Amino acid sequence: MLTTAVADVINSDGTRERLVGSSRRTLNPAQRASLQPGEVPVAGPGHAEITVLNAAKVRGQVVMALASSRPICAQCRKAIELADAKAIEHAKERQ
Amino acid sequence: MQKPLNMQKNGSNFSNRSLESKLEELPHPHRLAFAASCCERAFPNYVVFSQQAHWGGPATLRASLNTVWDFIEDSSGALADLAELVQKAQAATPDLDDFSTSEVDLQAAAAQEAAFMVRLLLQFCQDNQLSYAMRITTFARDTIDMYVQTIEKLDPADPELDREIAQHPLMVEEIGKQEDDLLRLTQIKTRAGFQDFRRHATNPERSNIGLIPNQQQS
Repeated sequence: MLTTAVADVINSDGTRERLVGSSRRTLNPAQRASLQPGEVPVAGPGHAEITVLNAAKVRGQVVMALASSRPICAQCRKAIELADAKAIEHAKERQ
Repeated sequence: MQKPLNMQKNGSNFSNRSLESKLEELPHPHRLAFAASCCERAFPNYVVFSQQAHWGGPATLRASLNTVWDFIEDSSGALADLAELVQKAQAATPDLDDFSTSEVDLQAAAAQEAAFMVRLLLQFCQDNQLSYAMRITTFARDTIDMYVQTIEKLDPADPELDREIAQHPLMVEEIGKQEDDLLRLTQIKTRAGFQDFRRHATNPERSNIGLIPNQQQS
């Protein structure tokens, strides 16, 4: 029903951040309140995975790995592969 | 004129604790009426989504809301078909991954939250736990929060984001309506009072994010 995706990214200066996006256009207040230092909320349309990939592109960041709260669909998986990032699979899907 | 807002870190602009303590003092039918009124302001969001996406069941959610209002007016009666209404409302809840294009995703999220609110309201009829009402108000604020961020093109990482959203007219209006509803409800003592409140709460001019469904299609 609602998907959250996180992407570990590297900035051009070598520092690391974690982008957090949702299948909703934006994170809700509870999600924002639970963000940890180094976690950056991002917004945008589309699947949560696409939102974080797009945000990383706009911010000039390299995506190292991306994880999602739900199984990743084929289109998102392809987008992650094109970004040369590692898709972290949903635990149930790995079994 | 709105009262000064009590800012909360999480973006809520009037204290959840204050709302909860006010609701605690009210009997179940009054609490239900408060929650139903919040749902009524979210329901047009669902109708607008359904009209745009050609998906969903506004009549299903409308029937649920009507059933709850009937129950509020005469809570001595049994609540018929509650499980069936919950099941139908669940089936009418959009999955955001199915409506992810920029033309409809915002409306889909608002509709999903409206459906969540109605499902919680149905459960609240059966189980007088205040947490249901609190979750309903949270979803109402979440929808406005998302809509305001989007239409105002706010930076999601802006440290002042919560404050900006809390001060937006849409959020101020919703909080004002919740406070107004609470005040009205504290004065209701009769069935006629609930009927009057129902007329006041149903069919709002516009939704909690300012949307107005197309009358011909709704």
